[in-house]
Amino acid sequence: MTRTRYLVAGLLSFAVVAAALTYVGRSTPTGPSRQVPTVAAGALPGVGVAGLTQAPGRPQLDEIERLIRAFDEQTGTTPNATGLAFLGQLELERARLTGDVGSYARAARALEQAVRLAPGVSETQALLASVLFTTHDFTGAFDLASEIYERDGDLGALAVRGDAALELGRYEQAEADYATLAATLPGASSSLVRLARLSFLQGDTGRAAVLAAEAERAAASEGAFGATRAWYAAFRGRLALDAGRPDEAATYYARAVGSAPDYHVAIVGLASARAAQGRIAEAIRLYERATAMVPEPAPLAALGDLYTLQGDDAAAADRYATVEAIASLAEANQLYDRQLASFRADHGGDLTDALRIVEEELRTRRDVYGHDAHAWVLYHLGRHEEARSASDEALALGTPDARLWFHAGMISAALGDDDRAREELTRALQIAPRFDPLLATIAAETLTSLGGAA
Amino acid sequence: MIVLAAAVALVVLAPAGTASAHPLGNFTVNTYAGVVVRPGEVIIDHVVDMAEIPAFQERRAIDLDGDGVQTDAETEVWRVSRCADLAMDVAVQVDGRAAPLRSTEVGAVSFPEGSGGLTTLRISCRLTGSFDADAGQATHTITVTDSSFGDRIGWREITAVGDGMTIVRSDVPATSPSARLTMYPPDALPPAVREASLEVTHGGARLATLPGDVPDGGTSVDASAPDGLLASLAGRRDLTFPLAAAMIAIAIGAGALHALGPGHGKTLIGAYLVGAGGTLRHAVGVGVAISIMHTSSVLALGLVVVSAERVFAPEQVYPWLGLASGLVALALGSVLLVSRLGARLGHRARAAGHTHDHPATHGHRHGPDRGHDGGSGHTHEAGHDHPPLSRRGLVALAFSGGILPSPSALVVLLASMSVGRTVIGLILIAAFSLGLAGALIGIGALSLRARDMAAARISSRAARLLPIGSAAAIASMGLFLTVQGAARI
Repeated sequence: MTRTRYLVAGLLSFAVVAAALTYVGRSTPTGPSRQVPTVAAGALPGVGVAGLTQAPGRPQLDEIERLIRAFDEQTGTTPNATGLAFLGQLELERARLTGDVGSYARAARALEQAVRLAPGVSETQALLASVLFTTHDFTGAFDLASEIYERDGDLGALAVRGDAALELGRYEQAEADYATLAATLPGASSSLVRLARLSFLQGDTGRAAVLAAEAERAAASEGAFGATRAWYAAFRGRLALDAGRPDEAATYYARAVGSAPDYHVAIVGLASARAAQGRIAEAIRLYERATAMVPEPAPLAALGDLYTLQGDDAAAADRYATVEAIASLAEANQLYDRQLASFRADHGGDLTDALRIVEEELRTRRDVYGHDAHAWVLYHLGRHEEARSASDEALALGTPDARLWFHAGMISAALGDDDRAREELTRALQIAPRFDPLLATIAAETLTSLGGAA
Repeated sequence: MIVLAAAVALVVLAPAGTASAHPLGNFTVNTYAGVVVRPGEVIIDHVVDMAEIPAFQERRAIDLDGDGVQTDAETEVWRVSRCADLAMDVAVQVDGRAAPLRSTEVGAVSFPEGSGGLTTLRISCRLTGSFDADAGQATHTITVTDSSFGDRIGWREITAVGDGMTIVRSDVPATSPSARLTMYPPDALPPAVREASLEVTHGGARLATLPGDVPDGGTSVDASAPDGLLASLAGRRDLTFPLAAAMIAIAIGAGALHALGPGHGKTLIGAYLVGAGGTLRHAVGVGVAISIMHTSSVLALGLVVVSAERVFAPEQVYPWLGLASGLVALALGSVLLVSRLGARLGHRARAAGHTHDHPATHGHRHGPDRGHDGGSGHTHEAGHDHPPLSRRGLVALAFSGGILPSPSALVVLLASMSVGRTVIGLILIAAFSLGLAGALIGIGALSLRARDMAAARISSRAARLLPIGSAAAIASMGLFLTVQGAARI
């Protein structure tokens, strides 16, 4: 046969087979029926309960997801800047609730598209800067926010720049930005809460508490609801807890959970308040719920500590192992660097790697908590002198955080500086007697052994 | 054409069997509930796909005695109790009355590789509930609520089909857009369908198989990108002619590309044909033999995977197959080398004694009773036409080249089977093998052409040494494959 005939024959057979395939594809699917080993039904306790109570569910998240799908469809058919900007905000909100990094990516995409469609709208660009901020790219957020603010004077961008400056340890810059913000928007919740945060860091707890209360009231009157509203209540809870008033903290956190039952940050906060109140079983239940939603190292470690306190070492080991599993997932590391480093320092993990993590972070992010994490890891590595200098940096602003003073005290004790150690440990326990389920006891014991009164 | 090119490009670019992070995020738990409504019975094919972190936590729970080792017994116990727990988390109501569910069949559990050295987890269960199918009642209203893993984010999907009953109204689709949680579309918000409500009437077509009858079979081959394309096409209900043609073309292309990848003895074919003085006809024969061997290998492995009761990871078999392939190639090469060297030396001795003129039938008996490839040492004799391929050599070559089934082909077959489209899977495998054979024949033909072109230029001494060199090449290739296979075990 000639070549042409070969070709024709080949094409014909191809067509025939393809037609056969189509025909087969149209008819009912066929396949082998397989004998699967059947478990005797009677042997199992799996009887469905009539009127089954559903799992708590996540009403706020469901609502947000409904809105996301609606806006996704709408902007899919008719892309418009407003819809896309709102979609971006919704995805950010979802990310806040779920910790799902996919939502950050989708938020960024929607916002970038919105910016392309309407380049002049600086609010949308400021939202992009806040996406960078929430994914812990503080330098990126700072630079972008600066650019937007310098160009357009957008206040959202100013707020992001101030926040980024704070996280980076550039406290003067943060103070200046917050002052400008407060001057332009005097009674706004967003300025008040930021001033509160700064006041706390600088050691003025009284002022911080007052400002935080005003901020929550302002947020309510501005119409904030759900997770946003809950955030303000949770912030007050955090301040109260740090100041050693767990009962007050519990009230605020409970209010936060009431505003947003799906909000894991509020649930974790309430759990920590309950633990400080001594209501361990309740704290465990709350931590379990929160870590089922968003498995983060810090709440998992706290949960493990509570199990240790109760003597359930197996359950504690489970939680600690999960933290290490999270550590081995590359993406997670970026968001949880500090949490992982503290975990390893407190629970005897890979300290060399922990040091690498904190030093890597310190290159750009030189805030007081970064120095504190550095100090604590160095202390556990036995490098007490270096730990001392790092701890001094951490206490440079005089932040009244019991943990900072506890770390300082332990370092002083290791260096043999007993007087200083007693002072620092006393200070820590004065600020918050139950600042940590396990470490508070260590602080008290060390203080007693140094001849101090716990 | 562009689709084809893109599909082919996908096949080329994406490596098979690489571990990657769970596409929906590493702390998601994703569930699928496939509802089948029969007269008097509701069956739910329930699949759970856990990402790395929940899988890690679950695996610690599987390890009952906490010794860090997950034994088969522990996995069995866990499988049964997990499905029993799931039966309590799914609720079915028929006409307002609850139909309690029981776990009636426990499907396969598998731990596909994830990222960070962790695995994900996949388990399927069959839950059955019965209801009073009053034939007097025209329609029944059925609601299914899946509240498993309520606090975890993830993909939540429900589908519904009728088996002997017809679904008149349903707020969920009949086919799974994720192919039972094996393929997730990127960049979209996952669906959160936890409830389905259906209206069904009596009478209707029966399903030949229940969805999930051929379960995931514990395949831990990466079923994402390229194979997923073919598999998802295979599962489409609305198969049109152009689509079917495209699928066959893609399968042929995939087979051809697979031939070009490592393994399958391209080198072996080339070396063998060149050394044995083969013609195009022989190249065709070798290509077809390897292709048949490969198809059988894929079908055999597919059959084993499907009929295995326990979790069976095809990847466990590969190192052994690779070793076997290497050993056979080594044996073939050694035998050829020895016989050709022997013939060469014998020929030299004879040449010293008498003329080159000897009858064509001089000791050239071929067949299985002869251990060597007859007369290869005489290829330098021009016009000396004899078939250089013994049956044994051909078998050895086919075995060595075709024993290792292509993961892509395997996945296409298994995926087709799991959506009940076995015939289509088989047709695609056949097309795949066709492409494979074609590419191998092409390579063989190219090698022969190269040899012919070179024959004019190389000295007769080199031509004499060519068969020995090729046998040595085969032997060393075999050695390399053997060592590689042994290292992987």
